Parts: sequence; C-alpha cells; structure tokens
Amino acid sequence: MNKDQFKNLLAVNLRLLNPQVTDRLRRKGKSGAELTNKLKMQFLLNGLIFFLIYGTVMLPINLAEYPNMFTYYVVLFVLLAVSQSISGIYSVFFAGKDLNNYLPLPFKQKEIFLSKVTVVAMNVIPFIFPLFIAFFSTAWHAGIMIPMALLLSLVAFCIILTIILFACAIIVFALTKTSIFRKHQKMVMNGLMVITLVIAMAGILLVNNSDYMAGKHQAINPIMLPLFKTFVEPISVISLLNWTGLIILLLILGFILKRSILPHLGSQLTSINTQMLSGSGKRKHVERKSLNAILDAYNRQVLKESNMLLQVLVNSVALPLIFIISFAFTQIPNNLPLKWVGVFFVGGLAFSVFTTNSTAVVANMISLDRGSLEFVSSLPISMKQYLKRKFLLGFIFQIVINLALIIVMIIVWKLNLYLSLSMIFSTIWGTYLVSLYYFSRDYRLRITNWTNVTELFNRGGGNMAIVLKMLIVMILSIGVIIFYSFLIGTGKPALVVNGTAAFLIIALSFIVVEHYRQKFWQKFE
Amino acid sequence: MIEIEDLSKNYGDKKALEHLNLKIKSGEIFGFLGHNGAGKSTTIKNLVSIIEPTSGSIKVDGLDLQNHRQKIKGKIAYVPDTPDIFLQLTAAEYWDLLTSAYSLSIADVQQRRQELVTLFNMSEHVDETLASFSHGMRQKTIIIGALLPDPDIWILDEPMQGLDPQAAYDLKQLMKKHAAKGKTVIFSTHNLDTAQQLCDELAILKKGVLIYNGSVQNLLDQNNDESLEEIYLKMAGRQNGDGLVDDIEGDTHE
Ligand SMILES: Nc1ncnc2c1ncn2[C@@H]1O[C@H](COP(=O)(O)OP(=O)(O)OP(=O)(O)O)[C@@H](O)[C@H]1O
Ligand SMILES: [Mg+2]
Repeated sequence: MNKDQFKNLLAVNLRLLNPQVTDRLRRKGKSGAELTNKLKMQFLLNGLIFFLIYGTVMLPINLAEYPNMFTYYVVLFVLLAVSQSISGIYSVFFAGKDLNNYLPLPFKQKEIFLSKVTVVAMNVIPFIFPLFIAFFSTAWHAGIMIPMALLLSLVAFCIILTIILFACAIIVFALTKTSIFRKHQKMVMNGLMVITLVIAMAGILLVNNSDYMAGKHQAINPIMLPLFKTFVEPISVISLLNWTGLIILLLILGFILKRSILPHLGSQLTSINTQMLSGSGKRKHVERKSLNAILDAYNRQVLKESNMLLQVLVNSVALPLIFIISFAFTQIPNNLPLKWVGVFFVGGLAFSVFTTNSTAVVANMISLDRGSLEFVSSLPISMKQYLKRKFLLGFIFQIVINLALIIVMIIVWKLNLYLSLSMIFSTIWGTYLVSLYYFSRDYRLRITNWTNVTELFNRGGGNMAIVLKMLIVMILSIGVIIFYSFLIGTGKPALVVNGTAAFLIIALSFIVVEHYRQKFWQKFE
Repeated sequence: MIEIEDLSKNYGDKKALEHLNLKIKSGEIFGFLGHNGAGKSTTIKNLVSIIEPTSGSIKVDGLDLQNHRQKIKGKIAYVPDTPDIFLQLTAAEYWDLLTSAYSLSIADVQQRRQELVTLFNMSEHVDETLASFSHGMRQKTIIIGALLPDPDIWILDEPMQGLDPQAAYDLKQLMKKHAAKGKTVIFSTHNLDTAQQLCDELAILKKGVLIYNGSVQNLLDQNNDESLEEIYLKMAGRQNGDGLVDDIEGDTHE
C-alpha cells in the first residue's frame, strides 16, 4: 500500500472528524502536517483523559471476583461497538456524499476503505473504551503486574475492536448486496434500530437483576470463560487457545474482506448510491393548506432521509446504559412516601439531560437543512416560525425516546404512582430545557456543507465531549441526588427541603427559558 | 426603485464589498458583472436579506430594508447561485411551500404554475424529489418557484448556469417580459453576451469595489471599436499582463 496516500486520506478524514477543533487550530495559524499532528495529539490526549475518568469509576470494582460483572461489561460494550460500527460504516460508506469524491481519484480501493474504516474506529473507540478498562481492571485485580496487564488488555482490545469492525463491514456490505435491502432499505435500517432498542432494554433489565450481578465468584458464562481466563491466568492453556482463536478469527475475517468485499468496493458503492437517489424519487402530491403543515411535512422528510435515526437511537439509548450500570448496586426502594417525590423529580431531570446529547435529532435539525436555511431567510416568512417547527419535531422525537426509557425504568423499579408521575413530568420538562440548549447550539455551530452525519455529531468537542459531558452530568446529578436523599432520609422537615428544592428548580428553569428566549428566539423576530 | 447607499460588507477582516452606491430603477433589467469573488453574490445576498450589511443601507421604494424587512421580502423573489435547496421535497411540494410563504393560495397561482411547468418541460417531474433532479432541473424548479408570487423585484444569482440552450433562451425571454411589466429584474452573470442582450444597466465589481455603473451602450461608446469582452477584461481583469495563460508550462515536473 502507498503509505503517503493513506496518510493523506487519513489527514483529510481527521479534519472531517473534528471540524470544530480543526477550525480552532486553523485560526491559530496551524496548517498542513502540523495541524494533522495536533489533531492526532488531541485524540491521544482525550484517550488519556478517558482512561483516568473511566478508570476511577471502574477500577474499584474487582471484576476478577465478579465474573458476571465481567460478562456483562464485555457483552454490553461489544454490542455497543457492533451497533456503533454498523451505523458508522453505513453512514460513512453509504449515506455520506464524500466517498463519491474519492472514487474518481487514482486511489486504491484498499486505501479508501482502510482510511474510512479508521474514521469509524476513531468514532467508536470513545464509546467502548470501558472495555479496555474492564480488561485491565480484571487483570490488575487478579494480581498481574501493571505493565503486563496494560499490554495484555491493550492488545486484546485492539484485536477485538478490529474483529468487530471487520465483521460489521462484512455484514453491512453483504447486506447492501442483497435484494431485500435494495428494495426495503428503510425497513432493514428500521429493523436494525429495533434490534438496538431491544438490546438496550434487555441491558437495563439485566443490570437490574442485581442478585445475579453481585454474585461473587460465580461460575462464569462458558462462552466468556476463555476471555476471562486470558486476564486472570494469562499463562495457561486456555488463555493460549483464546489468543489463537482470536487471531484465527481476525485472519479469516480479513481474508473474507480482501477476497469478497474490497475488489467490488467501487462498483458496489456507486451502484448503491445511485440506487438510493432514484429509489426515493417519486411521491404523490398531497395538498396542504397551512404553512405549518407544509413545514412539518418537509421536516419529517428531512429526518427520514438523513439516515441518522439509527445513530440517534444508538447514542441516546445504548450509551446511557454504560452509566446506568452504576445503579446495579443501588437498590431503589419502590414504595417510598410522598415526601420523596422531589428526589425523583430531580432524578428525571438529570436523566433527560443525560440521554439527550449532540447526536439527538433536536441537536441537528438546523444543520440537516443544509443550504435551505439560508434561502428561507430571503422568504417573507418568519424565521422564528420556521425554526419553531423544527424545534417542535426534534423535541417530540426526543421526548418519545426519553419517555420510553423512563417508563421501562419505572416498570423495572416498580415505582408507585406519584413517584412515577414525578419522573414522567420531570423527564418531559428536562427534555424541553436541554432541547433548548442543543437546538440553539446547533444553530451556533451550524454547518451546511457536511458530507455525512458523523461530521455533524462531532461538532463542538466531538465524541469525546459527548462522553465527557455525560460523565460530568452523571457525577453532578448523583451528588445532588445523594445530598437531597440524605436531607429527606435523615428526617429533616420535608416541607422545607422540598420547598427549597422546588424553588431552586423553578428559578433555574425560569433562567434557562428566559435565557434562550432572549438570546436565541428573539434574534429571529 | 432600489437605492443602495454606501453599502459595505466584511467577513471577519476580509472586505467583500466596499462603499457600494447604486440606484436600480423599476422596469429595468440590471446586471452584475465581475470576476470570481468580486462581490456579486454578496451584494445580492444583502438585497435578499440573507446577510446584513456591515454598514450602509438599502432602500426599496423609499422604505429602509432594515426596518421593513418583512414587507420588502414579500416583494422580492430570489434564485440562489446553487439550486441545492429543499432537496427532500418534490417539485410540487416546493412550489406549495413558496406559494404559502408569499401568503398566496394554490388557486391564485394555479394558472401561472401550469404555464411555467409546461414552458420548462417539467410536467413529468412535478412529483419527483429535487434530490433526483439534474442540476438544470433543480434550477428550473427554483425559477418557477420564484415566479409564482409574480414578484415586484426578481433577483437571480448566475441563473443561466446549467440550463440547456432552450431553457436559457426561455429564461431570458421571461426576464425581459418581467421587466416589460414595469417590474425589476436583477441578476449576476459571467456571460458577457447575456449581459449585452439583456441589461438596461450594468454594474461591474472588482474586489468589492464598483468600477463601472451605466448602460452597456454607454460602455461600448466610450471604448470605440472594442468588443464588450475586450473592454470588460481590460477593466476587471489582471493588470499589465502578468500570469498569462502562455506563461503556464505544459508539463508537470517529476
Ligand atoms: N461566508 C463567507 N465567509 C467569508 N468570506 C466570504 C463568504 N462569502 C463570500 N466571502 C468572500 O467575499 C468575497 C466576495 O464573494 P462573492 O460570493 O460575493 O463573490 P462573487 O462575485 O459572487 O463570485 P462568484 O463569481 O465566484 O460567484 C470573496 O472574497 C469571498 O471569499
Ligand atoms: Mg457568486
């Protein structure tokens, strides 16, 4: 392979992956190789921060003693990696527009493929980094020397990630070859979404089965045994078998890729891309009377064709699961008296802030408009009205996701009526507030010439920022909830405590709503 | 009547437009010429409220654009330089959106719409999405949309781009007809023949500065025996012969 070409492709993709960081660096006068190196450094630095943060959360858990926990982590993150990779590969190869720009250039298919898969990998890594920590933690607790433990877990992590990426690439490319996919592209993608959702729900239910999770020294699931032993007893027959197995699997997948996917990459991509365009070409005309109805129909159409729904679901459903695992050890008493209503309200608020991130529909509606937004400002309609309709759709979409999740939790925790209602209302309200933030952020950071949705999601600090924000929200809200519970639980006068909390929540809400009314909506009057 | 007074636009430190003064009369076809990056689109975007001027003002029929945006927008229809907008809509849906945006009912525009669709050969494509259109078909769709409200001021940014000769001819006729009704047509172009055929009045921009404003005839009279192309290149082009095509060497160096 031509190393220079690959490097150049990677440099371009690094910029695509971090549009905002690139912009910031460019304004500081960085360019060329220097810029690329800075971007790479940034990526490594983020990795280090992740290691520290996830490490503090996960290292105390002795995974070597809780094999079920180990199994859970591995399964969860492998599934997460699979769904992220599938949606990532799909969006980069089939829903993105920039690939068509490469195909006419004299690059080798292999280089294009590898550089694009690298982009997907860099996108997936922040989300499944805890897998690496899980490996390391297991080895460390089993008494393996730290350098050795690091090496073992790093190598295992890389091999497993590559296997997942290759397997997903094969799945996606094979899927797009089938006639079912060509005919029912939307349906197949929807099917994948449903599967993701089911996995997520199953995950919540599993975590909640805390008897199962907390069992010490239980027999490990036989499928996980070899992997587990690799870290607990690295020098053993079973560990050796595990390594051999992984490497053979990797080679087989690489061989399949090389033989059956790479040679037809170009022709497959071009045929699919033209197919997609002509496939969704015609639609019967429906007469709509009001401007709002016309705008709503348009916005729904934009959303449908953006190919981002799968990723939205993965990120707002599967991702929070990583953290919800912390609740596995907290027994939530389900029949608390009325005075606990406030605590659950705060819980609902925190939850909605937690599940809504820069990959949400409401956080991308404006950019999905591409050049149309600019054109609209030349039309004699109110920009405020135009944006309001977009906000409404994004908000409703997020509400549906968040409510679905919270209802599952309510059922799992068997909460009583008033606690449930409290959580439901606070989720709706919290979603509204956080949607305001993300909607105006989308406007502030809007890009209209993006090539695939991943680029949109990575605005601001990128993937790393999403996960970091989540962690911060989680730590803060857990702090607040613990403090609040402490006050209520230790018999402080509930009326005073709840009254103060209510006052704070109302004041905070007022500030947020008023802020966005003045700083955002008023701009468009 | 449009009066542009001392209009300037900066993008950050970059001066895209400097102290532009222009009057555009009703019933006139007004053309903007200038090299890439001269400031044609910037001027037009100011006129159609897509960007706000850094300084200066624009008056339409005596009303200040800054203070009467909504009212003035209702009189203007705009054809952008790239037709890649509202790609998810079908042509019919796009026209519905435009009709509704200008507060008209579908019945009001039914006849005009039908005529334009037939004129531009789009009858078979009304229920197809703009995404599935060729560049020229998108351009036609947007041109039809702009004419639906029969705007007092019709502003087009490089409208001939990508149109087939027939459609380009039809568009020119439409522009002439529109001006003949006493309405204003403003457009930018790189095609000097088009400018010569259509424009009552011309503005040539160079690096954000107005270097000529007047009729085409006037320009030709001032420089006798030269073609518009020669005159234009002399005015807007590069100085004293540096960087000519002849200087470019044909071979790439290994
Ligand atoms: N959004 C923007 N941000 C920064 N600079 C801009 C922006 N839009 C235009 N410019 C700059 O303003 C100047 C004028 O651009 P403009 O688009 O008006 O040129 P133009 O005459 O329409 O050129 P063309 O013939 O290529 O369409 C150029 O130097 C351009 O780089
Ligand atoms: Mg232009």
